[in-house]
Amino acid sequence: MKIDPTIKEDLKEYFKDRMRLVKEKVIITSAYELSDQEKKTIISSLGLPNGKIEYKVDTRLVAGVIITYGSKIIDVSLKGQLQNFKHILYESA
Amino acid sequence: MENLGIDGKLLIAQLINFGIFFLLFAKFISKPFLKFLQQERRNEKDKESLLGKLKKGEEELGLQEKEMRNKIKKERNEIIEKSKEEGLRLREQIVAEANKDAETLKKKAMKEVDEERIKLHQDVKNKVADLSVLLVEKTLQQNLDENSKKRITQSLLKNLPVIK
Repeated sequence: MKIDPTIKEDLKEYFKDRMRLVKEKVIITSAYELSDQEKKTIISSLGLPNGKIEYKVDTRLVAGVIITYGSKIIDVSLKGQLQNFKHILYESA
Repeated sequence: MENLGIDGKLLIAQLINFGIFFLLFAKFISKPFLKFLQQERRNEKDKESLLGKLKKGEEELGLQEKEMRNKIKKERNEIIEKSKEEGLRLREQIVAEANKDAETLKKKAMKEVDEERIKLHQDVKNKVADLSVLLVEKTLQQNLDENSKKRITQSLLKNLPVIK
């Protein structure tokens, strides 16, 4: 099925914009409500873009944060550290 | 001679008679008769030699038959002995193979038991690790206050990498 070239170009642009939004989307999940100072610390430490950042709270993390930036995930939560420790225990003799 | 009762003429006639008889006998009777006797003798001899030969042949056949019987008996015994030996050998071979198979199965079973034991040990260890971590997680969730959580968060944030 042949598509009209202009419609094809419009679709390409639309999908590029959507992908850019997804790539640039930042979600910061913390164990408690972060203060403004903590938020600034995180943004400046990671060099995150000044776009829209979403903040979520998940008490199951115990402490620390999980930062999702596009397809990247940075886990500095206490729960994540415990999971790493568990895998080390699996692999130990 | 007349006084003795011997008649000369009669004597002479008898002598002549005897002579004629002797001549006739010698010429016409004795030769064929002798021939006949010789022939009979020869026939007798031939018969005897033939009989001897037949007897000899019979004896030889008897010996051959005896030999053949002995040979057959010997071969039969040899075959029986060989079969017995073969049977024993096969039996030993089968027993050895069965023992070998049993040993192989035993080793395989022991290996499987060892593997299962190792796997079980690993599973138990993993379960213990899971439970331990879960216990620590729950304990921390329940016992950490807000200040402690903040301190821990700040400590963890110091290790943040830079996103490129």
